[in-house]
Amino acid sequence: DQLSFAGGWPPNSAPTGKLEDFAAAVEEYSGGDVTVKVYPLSLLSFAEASAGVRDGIADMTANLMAYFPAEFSHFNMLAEFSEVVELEQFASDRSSFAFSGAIMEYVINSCPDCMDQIAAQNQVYLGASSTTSYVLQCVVPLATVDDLKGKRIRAAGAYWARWAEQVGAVPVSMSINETLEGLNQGVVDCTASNTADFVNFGFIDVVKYLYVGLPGAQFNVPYTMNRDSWNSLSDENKSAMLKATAKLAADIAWVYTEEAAAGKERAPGEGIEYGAASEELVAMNREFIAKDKDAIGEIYKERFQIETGAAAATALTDLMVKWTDLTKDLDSAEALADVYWNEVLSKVDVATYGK
Amino acid sequence: MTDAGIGLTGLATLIALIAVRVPIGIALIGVSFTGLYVLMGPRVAWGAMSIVPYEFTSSWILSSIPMFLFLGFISYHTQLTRGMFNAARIWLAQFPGGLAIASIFGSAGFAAVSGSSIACSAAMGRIAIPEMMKHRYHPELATSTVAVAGTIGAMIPPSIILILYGVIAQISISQLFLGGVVAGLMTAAGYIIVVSVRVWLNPDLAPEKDESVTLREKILALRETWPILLIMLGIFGGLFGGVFTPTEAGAVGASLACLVAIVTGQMTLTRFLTAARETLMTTAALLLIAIGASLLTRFLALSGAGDLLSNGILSIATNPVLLMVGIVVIYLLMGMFLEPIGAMLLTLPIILPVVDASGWSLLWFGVVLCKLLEIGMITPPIGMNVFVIKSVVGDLVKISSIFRGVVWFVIMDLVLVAILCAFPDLVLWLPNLLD
Amino acid sequence: MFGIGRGLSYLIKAASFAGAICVVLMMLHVTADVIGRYLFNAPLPGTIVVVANYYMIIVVFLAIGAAEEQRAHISVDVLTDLMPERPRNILSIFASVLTVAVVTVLMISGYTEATKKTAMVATKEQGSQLFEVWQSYWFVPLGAALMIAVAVYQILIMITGARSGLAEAPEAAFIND
Ligand code: NA
Ligand code: NA
Repeated sequence: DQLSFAGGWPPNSAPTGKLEDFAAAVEEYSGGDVTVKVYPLSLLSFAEASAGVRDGIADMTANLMAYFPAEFSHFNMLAEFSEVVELEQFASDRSSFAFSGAIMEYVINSCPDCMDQIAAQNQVYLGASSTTSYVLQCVVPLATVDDLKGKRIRAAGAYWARWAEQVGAVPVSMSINETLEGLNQGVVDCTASNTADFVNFGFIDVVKYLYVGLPGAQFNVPYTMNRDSWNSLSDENKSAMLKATAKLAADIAWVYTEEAAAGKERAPGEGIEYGAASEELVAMNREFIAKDKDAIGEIYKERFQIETGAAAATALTDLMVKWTDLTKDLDSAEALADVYWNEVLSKVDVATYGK
Repeated sequence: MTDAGIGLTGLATLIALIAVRVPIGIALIGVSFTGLYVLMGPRVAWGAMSIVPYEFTSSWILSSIPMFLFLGFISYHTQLTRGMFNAARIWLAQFPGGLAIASIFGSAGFAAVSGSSIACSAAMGRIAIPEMMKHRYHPELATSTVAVAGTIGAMIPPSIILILYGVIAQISISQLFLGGVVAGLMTAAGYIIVVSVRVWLNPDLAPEKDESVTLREKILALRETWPILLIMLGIFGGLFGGVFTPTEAGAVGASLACLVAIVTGQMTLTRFLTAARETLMTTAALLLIAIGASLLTRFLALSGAGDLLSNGILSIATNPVLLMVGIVVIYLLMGMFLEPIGAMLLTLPIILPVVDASGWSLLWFGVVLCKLLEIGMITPPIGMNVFVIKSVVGDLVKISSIFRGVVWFVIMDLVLVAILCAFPDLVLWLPNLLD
Repeated sequence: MFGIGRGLSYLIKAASFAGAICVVLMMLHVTADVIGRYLFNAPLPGTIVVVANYYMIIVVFLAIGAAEEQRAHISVDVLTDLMPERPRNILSIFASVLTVAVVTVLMISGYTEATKKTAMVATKEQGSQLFEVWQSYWFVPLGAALMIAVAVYQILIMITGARSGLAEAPEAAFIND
C-alpha cells in the first residue's frame, strides 16, 4: 500500500525531514508492504489537515487539534494540562519528552471519550509529540510582576491568553507569520512562543530578552490516520505503523529540543538575554498554574460538559512523575522512541484498536 | 493512464476550457474536481470541495485584499487622487509618458505598505488608470504599466511570498526583505526605462504633454497632493510606529481614506456604497480564481505532474547556467497557470535541495524566485495582476490587449533576472552591509 | 420569464447589499481593534475569527452570484473574439452550463460540510474565548445556489431569446466622471 502523509510544516524544515524518516521506518518495519509519501504543505495546510484526513485526501497528518475546539475538546483539555511541566519537580528543557509520553499513555489507555471523538472524525490516534515549553520572548525587559501590566503579548492559544489576562497583560492574537513584524515594529511587546520557534520564525533576529519558565505549557501535536486506511492494513502492518509513529513522536519532540538548544547557544552572540525569569515571576507563575489546573476543568465543563477534568489533571500529573523518570537520562531520539514503543504503543491491541 | 498522465491531461483540458471563454475560476475548480475524482475517487474529490473553498477563503491574511481594494476604490470615487496626479503630471511634464512613470513611483510607494502584488495593482489601478485614460494615454500602455508595476508590491517589503520563502528555506526574513528592497527598486527602474523607450519609439502612446510648466505651478500643484500623502503617511507611520500590522494596514488605510474624503467634502453615500459594492465584486471574482488555483495545487501534487515537469527540466541541466535557465523556464511555465504561492509550495521541495547543492546563496535565490513568481502574475493565460486591472477597467480594454502591453515589461523582467543571476552581489550587498 | 428575472435581480441586490455592508464592517471592526489595542490596551475580542470566518466568507460567497449577474467573473476572450456570432453563442451557453455544473458541486459539498459543522456546533478560539463559526459555513451553499440560479436563468434567456429581467452590467462610468 502507498499511503500519504500531509505535513503542515514547510518543506526543508527539520520536522519535515523527520516525516521522511518516518516514511522510511514504515517501509522498513512493514518489510516493504507499506510505503508512505510525504507532502509538506503542498497537499493540506494545518487548518485543512483534520478534515482532509477525515475525507481521505491524505491518509495521515500531524493534526493540530487546537484549531478545532469543539471537534477535539477532550484532547485540547489534556493538552492544556501541559502547564504542569513548569512545576518545580518537572521543569527542565526536556520536559516535552515526558509530557509526550504521559499524554499518549493517558489518551490511549484512559480516555474513552478521546477515542469516541477521534472516531467521530473518521480518524485513528497514533501518538503525539509535544513542542518545547512556551516562553516569553520580548523586546522590552520584564523583571517584576508589575512589569507585566499592560504589556501586549502575542498569545497562540487559550492557555496563554488566559495567562496574560490573569497577570494583567493584554493578550493579542496574530498569525505566527505576522508575529516577527509585530515584534519588530512594536505592535506587540512579547510573544509567548516555544523555544524552537524562537529560531524557526526568526524571533531571534528581533527580540532582546527571553524568559524561561514563563508562561509555560506546550503545544501538542497528535498524529492521526484515516480510519478506513488504518483498517485496510493487516495487524502486522498496523503494528509497524505504530512502531514507526513511536519513532516519529520521539524524533519530532527531539528535534524541537535540538532547535531550542541551538537557539539558546546563538542567543548571547545576538545580544539577547536568554535565561530563567526572575524568581518573583517564576513563583507567581507556579502559583497561577496550581490554581489554573482546576480552572481548566471548570472551563471545559462549562463549555463542553466534560466532567473528567479534575481526574485527568491528577492522572496526568501522576503520569508525569513516571515519565520524567523514564526520560530524564536518555541520550538519543532512538532511545526515546524505544521508551514510547515499549511503554505505550507496543501494548496497543491492534486487532481491536480503531476498528 | 498514469497518475502524472492524468495531471498533464488535466492541465491540457484547463488550457482548452480557458481558451473557449469558460470563466477561469470555474475551469480551475472543474478540472481539479474531475481530476481528483479520476485520480483518487469520489470521496477525496468531494472532500477537497467541501474543505478548500471555505478554509482558503476564511483567511485573516487574505482579508487585506478587500481592504486595500476598498482603500483604492474610496480614494478614486472621492477624487482624493486627482491632486496627486495633477502634481505628478506637472512634475513629470517634461518626461514623455510622465503619468505612466508616476504610476510606477506610486506602486513602489504602495509596495512598502502592501504585502501582495494583487492589492498593489488593485489600488494603483483604480487611482492611475482613469487619470491616464483621461490624458489620452493608449489604454494598452496605461493598463499594462499598472499591472506590471503591481509586482513591485511583492518585492519591496512587506512581502507575503518572501515571508513564506524565509520560513521554508529557514533563512532570516529581515535579510530577505533587505534583498527584496534592492530587487524591487531595480524592477521599478527597469519599468520606467520600458515606458520611456516605448513612448520615445511611439509618441502617440502618451500624447498629452505640457511643455510650459513654471516652478510656481509645480509648487502649487503639490498643495493638492495632501490627501494621498496623508493616507500614505498614516499607513507608513502606523506600520513603522508599531500601531498595526501589514494585514491591518488595509483596513486602517481605508478608514483614513473615508475620513479624509469626508473632510474634503467629497464623500457621499452613493460614492461610499459604490466603492463597497465594487470591492465586493472584485474580491469575489479574484477569490473564486484563487480557490481554484489552490484546488489545482492539490490535484497537481497528488498526480505528481508538478514533480514530473520540474524533474524533467532539471535532469537536462548539466551546468550552473543551464540549471538556472532550466529553473527560469520551470517558473515561467508554472507561472503561466498557477498562483505564485501555490507554485512555490509545489516546487520548493525539489528546487531547494538543488540550489543548496549548487552552493548558491539561498537568500539570493529567494529574491530571484520572488521575481520569477511575480512574472507569473502578469503572463497569460492566468495573470492575476492583469485580471485585477481588467476588473478595474471593465469592458473598456480587452484582456488580450493588456497582455500585449505586458510583453515589453516581461522582456525587461527577464533582463533583470539575468542581471541578478550574473551579479548576485546586487541582491546580497544590502543584507550583508546591515548584518 | 421577465418577472422571474426581476425577482432574481432583487434577491441578488439584497445579497450584494449585505456583502457591501460586510466590507464596511470589516474595515470598521479591524480599525476599532487597532485603536482599542493601541490607545486603550483593549483589543476587541475575536476580531480575527469574525473577519476570517464571517466577513471574508460572506463577502466572497454571497457575491459570487452577483458577480455572475454582472458578468464580473474573469474569462479570457482572445480566441472567442475572432469567432462569428453563432459559435460564440454556443460556447457562451457551454460556459454557462459548465458553470452550473461546477457550482452545483460546490453547493452540494458546501451543504454537507455545513450540516457537519452545525451538528458539531463548530467554534474557533481566539484569545481565551470561543466563538461559534458553524453558521458561517451556510453562506457557501447559499451563495452557490444564488449563482446557479443566475447562470440557469442566463442559459434560458440565451436559448429562448426572451427579454432578460436581470440587471445590465454597469457602464464603466468612472472613466468620464
Ligand atoms: Na510589499
Ligand atoms: Na501567469
